Amino acid sequence: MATIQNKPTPTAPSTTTGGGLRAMDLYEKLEKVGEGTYGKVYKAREKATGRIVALKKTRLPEDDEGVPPTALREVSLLRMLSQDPHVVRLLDLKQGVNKEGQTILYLVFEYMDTDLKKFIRGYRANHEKIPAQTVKILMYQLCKGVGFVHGRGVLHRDLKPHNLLMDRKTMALKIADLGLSRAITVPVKKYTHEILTLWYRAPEVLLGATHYSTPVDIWSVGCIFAELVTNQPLFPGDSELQQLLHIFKLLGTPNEEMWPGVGKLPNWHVYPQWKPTKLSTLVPGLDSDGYDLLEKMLAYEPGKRVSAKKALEHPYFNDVNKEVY
Amino acid sequence: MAAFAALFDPLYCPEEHLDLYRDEPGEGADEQWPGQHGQQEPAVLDDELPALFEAHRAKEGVVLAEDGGYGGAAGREAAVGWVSRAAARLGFSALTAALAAAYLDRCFLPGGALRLGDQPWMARLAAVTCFALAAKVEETRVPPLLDLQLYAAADAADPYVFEAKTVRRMELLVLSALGWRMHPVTPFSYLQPVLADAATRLRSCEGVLLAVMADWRWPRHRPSAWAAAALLITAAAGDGGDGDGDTELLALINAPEDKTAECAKIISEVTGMSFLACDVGVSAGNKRKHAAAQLYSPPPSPSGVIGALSCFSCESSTSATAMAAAVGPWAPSASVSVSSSPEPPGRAPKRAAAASASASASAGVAPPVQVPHQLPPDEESRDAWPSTCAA
Repeated sequence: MATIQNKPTPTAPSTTTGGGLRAMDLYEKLEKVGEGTYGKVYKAREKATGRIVALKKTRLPEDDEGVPPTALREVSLLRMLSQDPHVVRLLDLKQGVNKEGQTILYLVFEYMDTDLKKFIRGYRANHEKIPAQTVKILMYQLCKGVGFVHGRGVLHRDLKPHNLLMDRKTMALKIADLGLSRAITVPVKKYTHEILTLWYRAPEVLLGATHYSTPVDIWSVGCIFAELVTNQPLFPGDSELQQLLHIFKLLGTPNEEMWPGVGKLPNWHVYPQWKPTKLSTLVPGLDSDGYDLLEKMLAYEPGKRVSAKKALEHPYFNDVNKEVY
Repeated sequence: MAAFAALFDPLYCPEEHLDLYRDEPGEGADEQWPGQHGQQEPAVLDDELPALFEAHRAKEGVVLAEDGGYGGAAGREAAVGWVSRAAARLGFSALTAALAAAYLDRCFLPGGALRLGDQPWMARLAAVTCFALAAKVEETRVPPLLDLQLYAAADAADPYVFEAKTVRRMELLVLSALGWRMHPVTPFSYLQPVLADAATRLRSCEGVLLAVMADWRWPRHRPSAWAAAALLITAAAGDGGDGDGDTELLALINAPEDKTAECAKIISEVTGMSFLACDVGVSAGNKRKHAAAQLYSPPPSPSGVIGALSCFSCESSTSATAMAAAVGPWAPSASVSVSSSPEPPGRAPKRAAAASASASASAGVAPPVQVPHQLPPDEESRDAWPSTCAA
């Protein structure tokens, strides 16, 4: 009958195809700490070494689709990108079956004790601002990580504080959750509306552009930058239209002069003609270099938005010790 | 230098196939971004592409000149040939086909982690599996596994159609064998950035590369050499290449000249295109390029579908997504897929108790019912090429 055989190929990290019990025997779940795009995340201890890891578990459904594209993309892109210190490290991959005979995939990540969302929320709860230098080193790491990801030809497409993991002691920041990322080739035709957080979505996407690229991630970075400074989301819309209106109210309604071609985007309509508010009013607490960089990140025209790599050279980061981060 | 003038973003790639969500079929990408072509960022070229291509070259792999794997060259030709035709029929990108070919080669050529038996259905199952994985990595919409096979089939009586669960088991085997590394370097890793605003030229390169991908020599040469060879061939065919611009592109790709020449020779042999610039060559090349391109044109979408889709843009995203899926290119075969779903009588899968998933998957992979009067894939793939060679 079948002569297809599987020969294990030793690699680091290894991919082990074994029973679910075997995979679970290697780790002790300590607590559930969250959910990613498609699976639950646990803090766990590796029994052999005592090392603390994050265990992301997903059941691969027995359906007509086969292995889900989100799982396929996240794992394959992590395999491509995990070498960078600013992308969360994938330590191991375990493929097994659970008691019901369903295929289970375990992604084993380095453990990071918090994320940027919790970090910001902690300061907000204490009615404190994040120190300016802390904002700067977090932003530097974010730009460096995004620059690496873009340099490898990958769009993240879901950058938001929740997907940026942190270590409180070292102030290390790492990009995570690449379930909606994809390699940059053909334009992506449609976002999955229900999954993505609206607040960090670029205006060209909201206007239905079918051609977009790395600038969509830079817009998200700009929104995160503002949120680090003020502790509040910059554009907290609750529908696609409200998201657009929120942006236009604050940054001014775009026109053909500032954004050539905007009138031809599929979702373009006649909008109220708001005038822009100064960034220093919207985001109090930055110095002039910071405002200049933020403005370049939130440029309406995607082609005018600063790249992550260029952002690293901006004067705002001049006093960052670049060898440490 | 014309090819460089509009390279405002090396990672930005224009539309390659007809966009079902576009109101006007003929609308060009330029119309959506009229100000874009005027923006030049020379620093992007200097800073980004050489480093990116250097990283690509470091990742490239080639296969040593051993026999075996796939059960011989014919097995590979059958598998990769099926993939190329399937990508064309579903309107998937050339990159999807190249990714699938790369997965197949990494798994089933000597040194790969999997072994393929002699039976023709095994090559087909491998092809279907790698094609499905490539589509899920690369395409924005992928039909369910059974529909994928039916839409890709040359006709409704294709002898091999695998159940979703069979393909899924094979998917897990392939993923494990590949270590879930699904982004190998392909020739398009080089061509898409440098031809980002030369869609016609890019399509010509895609056409010649698709034509040669099934050839047994494909995995023996680096993707960069194939990319450079495609530029040479399409330049000779008069597809808009200009000497100075191409020289710079070839320098960026930086493939060894002797390897590039070998690849160009293979392309010439397989497609009949000449890469010598002479009157006869250009004339003959044009005809054959057209013939080659015809083989890989994505199926046209009826304007009614496009019109219907434009109405759905007024709905919410959810209903638009659902309706778009319903009227997608795969919908007409729904009745066929229903009739194909039931297990054939007496062919219940026998699953041996097994300690590991791989053994379980192996035991569960059963050959499908074979329809005797249909040509096996080997002969089909051979039949597919004589017209091109004879042209």
